[in-house]
Amino acid sequence: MRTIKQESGGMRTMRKSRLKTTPLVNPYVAIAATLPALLSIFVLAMLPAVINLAISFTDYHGVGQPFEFVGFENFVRVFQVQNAAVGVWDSLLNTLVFSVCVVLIQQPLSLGMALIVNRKFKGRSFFRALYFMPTILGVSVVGFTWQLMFDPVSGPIATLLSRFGTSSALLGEEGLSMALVIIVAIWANFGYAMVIYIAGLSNISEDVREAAQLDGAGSFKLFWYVTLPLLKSTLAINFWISISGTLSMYDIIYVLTNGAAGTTTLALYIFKLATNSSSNQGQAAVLYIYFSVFVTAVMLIFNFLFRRKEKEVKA
Amino acid sequence: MKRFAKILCALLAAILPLGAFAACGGAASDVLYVLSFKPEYDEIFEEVNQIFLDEHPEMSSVDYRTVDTNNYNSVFTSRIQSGYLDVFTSEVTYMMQGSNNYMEPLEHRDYMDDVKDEYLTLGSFYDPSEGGEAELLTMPIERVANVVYYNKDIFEEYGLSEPTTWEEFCSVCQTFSDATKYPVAGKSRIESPIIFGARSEWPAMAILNSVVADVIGINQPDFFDEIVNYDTNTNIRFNNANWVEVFEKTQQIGTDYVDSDIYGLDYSFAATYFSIGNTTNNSWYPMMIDGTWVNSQITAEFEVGAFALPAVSDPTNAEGKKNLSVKTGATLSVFNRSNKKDAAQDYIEIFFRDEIYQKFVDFAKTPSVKETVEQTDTLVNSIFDENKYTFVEAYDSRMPRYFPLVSASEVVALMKGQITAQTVADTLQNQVELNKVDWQEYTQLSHTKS
Repeated sequence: MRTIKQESGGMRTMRKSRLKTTPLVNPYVAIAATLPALLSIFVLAMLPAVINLAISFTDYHGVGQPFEFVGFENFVRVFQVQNAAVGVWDSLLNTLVFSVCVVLIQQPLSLGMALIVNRKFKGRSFFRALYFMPTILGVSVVGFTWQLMFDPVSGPIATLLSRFGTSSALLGEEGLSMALVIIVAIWANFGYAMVIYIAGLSNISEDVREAAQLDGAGSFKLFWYVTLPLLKSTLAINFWISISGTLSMYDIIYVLTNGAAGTTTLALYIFKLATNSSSNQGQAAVLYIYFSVFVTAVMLIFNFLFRRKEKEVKA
Repeated sequence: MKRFAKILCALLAAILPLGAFAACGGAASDVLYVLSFKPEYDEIFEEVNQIFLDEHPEMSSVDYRTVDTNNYNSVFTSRIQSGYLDVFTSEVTYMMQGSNNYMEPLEHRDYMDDVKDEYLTLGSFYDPSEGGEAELLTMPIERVANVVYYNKDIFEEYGLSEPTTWEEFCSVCQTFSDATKYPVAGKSRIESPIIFGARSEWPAMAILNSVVADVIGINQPDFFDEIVNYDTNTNIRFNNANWVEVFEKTQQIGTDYVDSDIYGLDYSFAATYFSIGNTTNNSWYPMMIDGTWVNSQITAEFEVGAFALPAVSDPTNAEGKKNLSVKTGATLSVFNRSNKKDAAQDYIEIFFRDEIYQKFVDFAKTPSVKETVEQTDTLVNSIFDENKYTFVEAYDSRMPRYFPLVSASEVVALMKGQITAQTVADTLQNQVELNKVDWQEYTQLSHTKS
């Protein structure tokens, strides 16, 4: 034992000295390698954020237009009612409904599908590819396909409803419209979460599962006490991606309803405000700032809760 | 060696991002970039593109892109910032909202001698802040109107005629509305008295524009001219009795005469479903409210009529005619920061050659802006009949730049009965008050120097 200790101590000394004399990576190469990414982040994220902040203090209306410094006026004015049909608070509420529903339905669904297609059976790869396919279709394709499905006059769903002697505006109907948008968003994205769960499941050793089975664990106990705890980091990643993604999602809603019938989320509200040439871009910039703070706060709360849960489990 | 490594690393660091940004590219000098919000006119523009390339061998291609109306603003904004723009379609709404800032004055070409004066005036702008005379910044290619299309066969079947007053219009709508609940044996089944692309929201502005043209146009004809005197003229308020009446009548049309399912209908399907009656021998939609830009998409085999929506009891104006809500429609402009301005002006000239423009007029079913080209379509000529109608610029086109407008989403919510007429009026008035500083300095932008 003493010999081993001495040897390992000697190895440590040798490694340290090697690190001092010949670093594994040339520091210039390391800096050079990170510079493009840093520059990209600066140009594509930091700089626009600074410009956005500057615009928020003006009544800027677009390139080449005269504008004035208005101080903090925009920070207050964005909350005043600008549109009798949908306001900032309505869109915030819609965002929360959309995000909570998509995350809470999509995650169990994706995990369930991952558990199914992770089993060994004939055609497993085919089903994996099939479920992942909506993810690669693209927002426009998904949007226009479902628009046809939801056509209230002669679409397949309207035809089906008419067989039961009923009809609906579908995407144009208040309440139902949000539900349909949620279904399409889940359909379009669950494959992505499923793939991440499959990767997580493949990292769980068969030995652990077999040991649990030998101890008499049934399917549910095996899932609840073995699979799920070992998938914790995968769950965290998927929830993180899903929450941040749904909070800022607007593309699929834009294509499906353009925010009609109570489906305007905050991200879409800002997008429409920013791309309307008659709008005060300063107000759109302010909403971007509030929106960033909101998303950051939600993600920090998620992190806090998740870490606390992790500590409880460890304790 | 170490120094060489440093230089190499520095070069690497510089080249990678430069390469990445260079990959984004820039506007090519031998490509003419044309942006349009009129995909329905692609066929004509493709022909113009071909002629342009034949006559300009120095140009390698025409990058012609069409974007639908909903996305046009964002694409247009990105194009003017990136410089990928030489020729673009616009309309008065955009001009009044600022796109005239990006327009190069059009130089005189022969075809302009044949353009009717009224259209040259519509394309000319005078900005007092700049001084000088009005300049021809954009060339109108069409004129559009907001109308009610109707199926003459169904009207005849139900013993109805073209309504001339608000009461008659409501009576016609009520007859069809009753027919949806109690189908009449031997007569066409009616699904909804009125159809329009409600889910796309923006088509709802055609209804509002029509109602404004009559209610404001008859009751307060000087309203829009007096906007410049907003501060001193207290009659110019958007929550006065006339505007509340506008919103109430718009709401009545929506709640009483549009079937609730129609609020899920995309714009691109509306004309098809209106036209489908004769092909299925089961006419469902007797009326459609839209702009005349849809003319080319109405493929009905039955006889189609059109009238200006009468929104008051006596819609006869001071000229003894009725008001028709019109817009300039699409116009062609040259981007003022283009480095191919001559080529861009040539492109517009090709479009206006008689043989090309005649094809366009026939295809688009629009009145001709040229004296030398004629529109022969009976329906189009019956709509743009100067003996019958006074052409009133549509509400959403004639407002000063940055002036708060009722949004299409508010109009649809109003028509669904989700918000009251008074709420819409008060919100609009509140916005006008809040944004006064923004728009007042632009209100004098006009077509002519007064």
